[in-house]
Parts: sequence; C-alpha cells; structure tokens
Amino acid sequence: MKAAFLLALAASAASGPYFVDEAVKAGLKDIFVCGDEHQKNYIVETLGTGVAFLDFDNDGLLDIFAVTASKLEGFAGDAAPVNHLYRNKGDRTFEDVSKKAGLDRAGWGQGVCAGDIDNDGFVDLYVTYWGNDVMYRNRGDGTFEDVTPPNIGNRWGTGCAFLDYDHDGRLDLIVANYVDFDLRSTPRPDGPKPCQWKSEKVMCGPQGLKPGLNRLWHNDSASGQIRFTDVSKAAGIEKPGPHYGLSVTTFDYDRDGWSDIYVAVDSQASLLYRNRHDGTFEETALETGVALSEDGREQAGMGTAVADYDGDGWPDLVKTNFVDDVPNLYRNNRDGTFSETTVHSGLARSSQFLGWGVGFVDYDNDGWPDIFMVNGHVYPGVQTGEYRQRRILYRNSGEGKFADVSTDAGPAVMERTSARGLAIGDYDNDGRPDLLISNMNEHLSLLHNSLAGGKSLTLKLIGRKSNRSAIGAVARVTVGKRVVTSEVRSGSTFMSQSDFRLQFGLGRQTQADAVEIQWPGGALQRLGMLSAGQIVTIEEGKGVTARVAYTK
Amino acid sequence: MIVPLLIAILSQTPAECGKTFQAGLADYQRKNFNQALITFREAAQCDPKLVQAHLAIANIYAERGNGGEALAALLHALQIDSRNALALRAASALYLNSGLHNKALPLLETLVAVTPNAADVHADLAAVHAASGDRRNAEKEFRRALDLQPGYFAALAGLGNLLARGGDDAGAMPLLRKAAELQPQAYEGHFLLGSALNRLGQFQEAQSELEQASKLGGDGEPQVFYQLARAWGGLGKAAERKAALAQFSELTKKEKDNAELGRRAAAWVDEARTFLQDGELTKAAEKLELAREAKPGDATLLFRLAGLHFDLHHYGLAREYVQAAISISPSTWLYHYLLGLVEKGSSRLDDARASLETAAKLQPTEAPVFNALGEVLTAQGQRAAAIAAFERAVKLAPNDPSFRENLDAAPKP
Repeated sequence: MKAAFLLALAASAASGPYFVDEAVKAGLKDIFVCGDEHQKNYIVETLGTGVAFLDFDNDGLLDIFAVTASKLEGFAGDAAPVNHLYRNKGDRTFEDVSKKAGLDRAGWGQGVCAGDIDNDGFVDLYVTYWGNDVMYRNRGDGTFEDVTPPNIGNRWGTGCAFLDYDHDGRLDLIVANYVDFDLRSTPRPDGPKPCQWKSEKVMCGPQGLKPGLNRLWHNDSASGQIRFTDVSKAAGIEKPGPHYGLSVTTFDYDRDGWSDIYVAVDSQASLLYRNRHDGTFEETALETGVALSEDGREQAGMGTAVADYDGDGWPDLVKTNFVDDVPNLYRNNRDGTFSETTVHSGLARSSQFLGWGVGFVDYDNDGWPDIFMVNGHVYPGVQTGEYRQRRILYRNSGEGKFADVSTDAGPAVMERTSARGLAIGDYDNDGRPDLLISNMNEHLSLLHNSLAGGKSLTLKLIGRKSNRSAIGAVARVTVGKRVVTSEVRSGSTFMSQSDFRLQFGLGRQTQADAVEIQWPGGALQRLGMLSAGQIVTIEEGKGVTARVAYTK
Repeated sequence: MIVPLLIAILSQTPAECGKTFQAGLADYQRKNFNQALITFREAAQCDPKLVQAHLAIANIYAERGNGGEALAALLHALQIDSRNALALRAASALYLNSGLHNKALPLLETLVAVTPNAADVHADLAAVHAASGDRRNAEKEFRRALDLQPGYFAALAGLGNLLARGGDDAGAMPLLRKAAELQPQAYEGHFLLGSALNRLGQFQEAQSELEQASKLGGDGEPQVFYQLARAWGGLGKAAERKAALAQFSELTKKEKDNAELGRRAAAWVDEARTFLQDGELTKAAEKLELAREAKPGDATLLFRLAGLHFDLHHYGLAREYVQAAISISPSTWLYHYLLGLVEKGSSRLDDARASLETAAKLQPTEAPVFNALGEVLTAQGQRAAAIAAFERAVKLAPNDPSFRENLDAAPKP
C-alpha cells in the first residue's frame, strides 16, 4: 500500500526545480542586520534573527513579520534597522506596514513567536531581544500596542513559544535565554585573550560565558488587562539551572494531553520539561533520550522541529547542531522515551553544515513530513569553515529514510547564505507549503513551492473553551488506512513562527476520510469526510465554520 | 621507551656533547630521572643540533605524564629536524590525546610522507580526518592502514566506527567484530561494537559487549554507560537503564567539575595578574594560591607563586613552591634560577650556588644566572670563580651596566 502510494508520486517528486525564491519580486528587499558582515567580535553578532508567517489582519492570507538585530557600533540618526511587518496583498507580493502597525522598533531583536494572548481573535506577538523583550497586543485594527510585562528584565532572549500549560484557556509563554552577556568583560578575537576554533582566532562563547535562565510566564490577564506573571521558579523551569537556551518547541511528547516543552541548548545538554499537570514541570531530557547525541555527548543545539515523521501517531523530534556534527532525529518510542535514528534515517551523511532553522514540511504533499534545514557558519572570516552554506531539503521515503533532494528542488534551495530563521506556511493558499528564511545581513528568502505533488487539505483551528489560537490542539486526519497527525504550535524551528494552520498531504487521495481534533484540555471533536483542495476552518465545539478553496 | 633507539644514532654528535648525552642515558638507566633531564638538557646546550637530547627529555616527561613539557621538547626537536619521525609521531600523539586534531594534522601528513608504510600513522591520520568530518579521507587512510596491516586494531575499529556512523552496517559490523576479537582485552573494541549493535537494535548483544567494555577499563568512561543505558532501554529494563544513566551522570559531572576547576584556576591567575600590575602582591598571591589548590600539578603556577613570595621576602614559602615546580619539571632552568635566588635571599649560600650552577648548566646563555652565581661566590669568598661568573655574565650581556659594575667591584683573588 505504502509503496504504491509513493511510487505514484515518484515522477512528480523528482521533477524540479520547484522552489523559487520570490522574495525580491514579492517586495521583501529590506536587509536584516546582525552585527558586522565580515567579522564577528562577539557571540551576540552570530545568532541572526527570526521570522514569522502569521495572518495579523485575519484576511486569510499569511503576512510576514521579520526581526532585525543591529550593529555594535550603532547607526547614525534614524538609520537603525527596524523590525518589519509585511502585509500580504494577495497577489504574491507584500507591502510594508511596519510603521502603521507600530512594530517598526529598532534594537537587538532576536526571535519571535505568536499567539492570541487575549483570545480576541487577533494574533499577538512576542519579540525577544538582547535587552528587553517586547510583547505586542494586536488591537485588531492593523495596529499593535506594547503590553510588555513591567518586570520582563534585561536578558538575552532567543526562542519563545506560547502554550497553555495549565489548560485555563489562556496562552502562557516560555522564553529561552541564551547568555547573561556582558560586552565589556567578553574577550574579542583581536584582543589579548582571544578564543580559538581550529587554531583560528574567533569570538568567544558560549562556553566560558555565563548561561541564561529560561523563563515561564503565566497569563493572568483579566477584564481586558494583559498581565503575565513570572512563574519560572515555582513551575520548576529554573530547576535545571542556567543553560545556553536557543530554540523552544512545545509538544505533547507523551500524549497525556498536556503540553511539554523542549529547549535546544547550545554546548550543553538540551532540556525537556515534562508537564506534571499541576502547573509544574520536571526536566526529563536525559531519561527521555533527547538531551545528548547518541554517543552521550553534549551538542550545540540550535533549531528544533516536531512531527510524526514515521506515521505512528506519536510526535518525533529533529534538532540541528554545530558544524562537524550531525543533526539529531529522535524517534518517539511511545513509552515516554526516544531513540536516536539519525544515522539510519540518512541524516548523518553530512557534517559540514552548521544548522539553524529546521522544519518538518510535507513539501510534496505525500502525507509524510519531509525536513528542511537552513545553515550557515558563525565565523565569517575563518579559513576552516564556509560561512555561507546551502539549505537542505530531505525527502521522507515513508519508510524511516530521508534523501537529500536539494539539487532537484532548485537553485533557491542550493543558494548559499548564512541563514538562521525559518518559517513554514502557504502564503499564496495554493495548498503547497512555502518557506521563509532569514539570512545574516541580507534580505529574506521566500521560497515559493510550485511542485505538482499530492493533494492536500488545510485545517484552521479556532479554540473557544481552549485558547483561540488552538495552540496545543492535535489533529488526526485519516487518509485511507493511514492517520496523519499534526499539532498547532507557537514558536519552534529557530526563533521563528510558522503558520498556525495545519496542512495535510493526502497524496493521490481526493479527501480525508475522517478528522479528529483533540483540543487542549482533552475534548475530542470528530468530523467526517473533508475534501482535498481547501482550507477548512474548524471551531471548537462547533465544527466546520468556513471553507475556502485553494487558489489555482 | 625511545632511549634505546637514540643510542644508535649518536655517532654524528661531537665527542664532548656525546659524552654528556651518554651520561644522561646512564642517569636514565639508573632511574635517576631528574638528573637525566638536567644532563640531557646540558647535552642539548652543548650541541644545538642534537635532536636526540630533546627526544630523550620528551620521553622522560611523557613517561611522567607531563604532556606540556614533553610537547615543548618535541617541538624543539622538530625545529632542528622537521622530518624526524620519532618527534613527529610522539608530538602528533600528544596533540591527539589533547583533542588538538588541527595541530596533529600537519605533523601526521609529514609523517605519512616520511614513513609511508606505517599502518599506525595512516590510522592516526584517518582518525584526525574523521574527527574533522572529512569522511572520504578518513576512510581512504583507514583502508590504507588495513592494506599495510590487515589486523591493525585501531584501523579496524576506526573504519568500523566510521562506516557504522555513516549507516553502512554491512561494511561496519565485520570490522568491529574482528577488532573486538583481535584485542579482546581492549575496552574500546567492545564499546564500539556495543554502540553499533545499539544502533541496529540488537540490544541483548549490545548490552553484553558494553558490560564487557565496562569491566575492561571502560568504567571511567561516561559514554560506555550512556550506551549501556540505551541497551537496557531497548531491552525494556527500566531500573538497569536508570542505574546506567546515573553512572553516566556521575562520571560526566566529574569531568565537568574538573574542566570547571581548570577554568576557575585560569580566572584566578588572570585576577592575580591584575593585582600584580597594581602592585598588590599579597592579593595576587592569594589568587594564585586558589589557582594552585585547583591545579596542584601545574608547575608554571607553582613557579609564579614562588616568584611572588620571593618578591614578598617569604623565602620559606618561595622555596617550597619552587621546589615543587622543580619536582614536576626538573629541566627548566628558570625554576633552578629562582631557587638559587631564594636560597641566596635566605643566606643559604651552598644551596644557592648548587641551584644556580644547575640553572647555568641548563641554560648557559642567561647572563642573570651567571651574575647571581657571581654574587653568591663572592659572598662565599670564592673570588676567582666569582670573577669568572661575572665575566661570563658581561660577555653574554655586554650592555647591562649592573653586570659590569659587579665585575668591576669584585674583590680580586
């Protein structure tokens, strides 16, 4: 069955190029800055920035928000780069509405995550900074207001994600913090005590620098007043101690109906916070098997993504790492532990890439989540590593193996940049997932997918009792004898936000035979057959409330 | 270890220097290692081209586990003869042991050119390529090593591991099994085989191999227990898995604590340096003392502490620290020189003279050593010897007025 299903798609899957970079054509010409282009004197210049696909004006089209950092020497006058919000005009082009929206903030921005924090139906934003993070409430009229908690603190925020960890219907927030960074006390490569990498003088860190502490914020908003309380200590988030936290991904790894949190950590063991259902978390990464490499080594964890890549109904995890290492693919053992399957899955063939944003994306709509990774070195000047690296598209064979199909995917995938952030979403609503990439000191890349692959169905979930963004909701779509599972999540990949809508590849099937939604809190909602080729809105407790056909 | 090899190649050495070197060998054979180090250093001073003296020094330090000094001697040898196979081999091994693959790589590449038929060199080079992610060259070099010596353990294990990590189980497993059979007492073979079996999901056999690895000396290696935990997990043995993970965590913590201690020691040394620059010697000494407690076997630290206490006129403490430094690194002239100054400061003239004479033997080109020796000899009433020492100092550093003044002021015999 599986083989026939795949064979039917083989011809189309190999007929590239199908990813084309439309960024410039789409009007995405702004340069996103992160430190000096040619020389990185400090680690803060190396992380790059995040990007987001989100529909801020609820017009059914994915808009783009992109974060910028800055340069250490600063900018004269009002030349400092700012974050950008680009409104999707519906014709595969975008207009810059940053200023009008009130999001054109300068500073050393890092990551972004989205969620409807006040359940008003408009998606809100959280932007992390080296400095003070900022929380924005979407007023629903195309503008945003700063609702940052007063005690947000001056840290180096990186990845973040909204989640409703206590099932109270309001979105809480987890934020990773990287380094307790002090520019004045950190050695420079050209100083008296430079750090070295492969005998070359480079910027220092994170090892040797003071790690940051992850923060969990509980949403205590009431009567239209946005309020978040730092519960990191009481909830057990601080217990593992300071770590070099980067990307954050939430998922229900043990399928107990409660959101757990995974934090990819640089140069230390990564963290998995298991939700104990009582407002607290227990760190279980080592016992669970997702803390280290398969050799038991600490790695430089960068980006993370979750999907059920092997179709067993349980969420699996992928993580990118530093150069001279390979990514990790952790397969869920369905007993609260994971096994690393990197080697046998085919992801261990290349160790020359320094990976950042990573996402599971069923680019060919065959029903099997593929993997897309963006790469780039942190040291622009070194002789021993390529600063600009190509992206990698791995195709999932459906039998636990991934093959690098980047060449076939087209020059846009093979293009070399020093990429960081990655968001996945179907910005032209044609039923094919597209890719948004942030590049160090360059404009964004917007990889439009034109592959004539399988059919697909997109679900837009709206919570009623649950949080309105439906973050944490799990959809199970029956396609023939298979059940394809996906979860709505905030944050993930690398400091970025992907489309909340869940896209299901159906292969040659023209319909999903059944759909089941498990809302946060455990309520199950079952729907019957849904035809391919449309975006279906499902509201908690109501069922299908809207259907929009894909664009041609 | 390498000394017998050295004896054979002494014929080209000048007779006097050769005699000194032979004396060093005699010291070595009598297990008087400190004296041997001094004598070998003397021989090296006598004949600057005497590579063997540096190799002999490196050999003694390596046997003592003092990799830093051994490496310094080997690099000195390579400055004299950049294609010296013994030095290349030993220096690359030291770099490899320290994880400095980048530094080992050029040495191994030269060594391969010098000794193209040495299987172990190809295997070492392959290991460096593997560590830097160059699988193609790693595989090529491992295979070359196996062509030269089909039963070479490191090449079998290394190539097996490389192939296993690349997902080539069919290629990897026979090599790993053969390696484990060839050297059944080496834990590494069982460890690599066990790890590969884990990857294949053959947990029962993996557990057995890993238990074996643990018994054969792998019980200090955290990764052995990590793999063991994977095997137990695969077998559904939760309690055993938990115990193995606990062992892994404990060993990892130990490693981290040691590394942290090293980092802290370095920070204390930095702080001490700042205090020194500000002239706050006592505070600097306190910081160095903290660093010494963290790294008690660091001769450089002991020397710095001794120097500080010397400046503070704490001669007892200075002596204690510099003697400890000398016991770790007896062929370092600077330590003997400082001890001489300490003894001179505390009016122990015989001891001062002995230390300064040793320093002068180890480093006959340092004017301050001869000047200090002259001062001690003057105080001892050894007028002729004192003048000779001052004359040597002036000859070595004719522009230093204090040495000239001492010579002019020295009582004539």
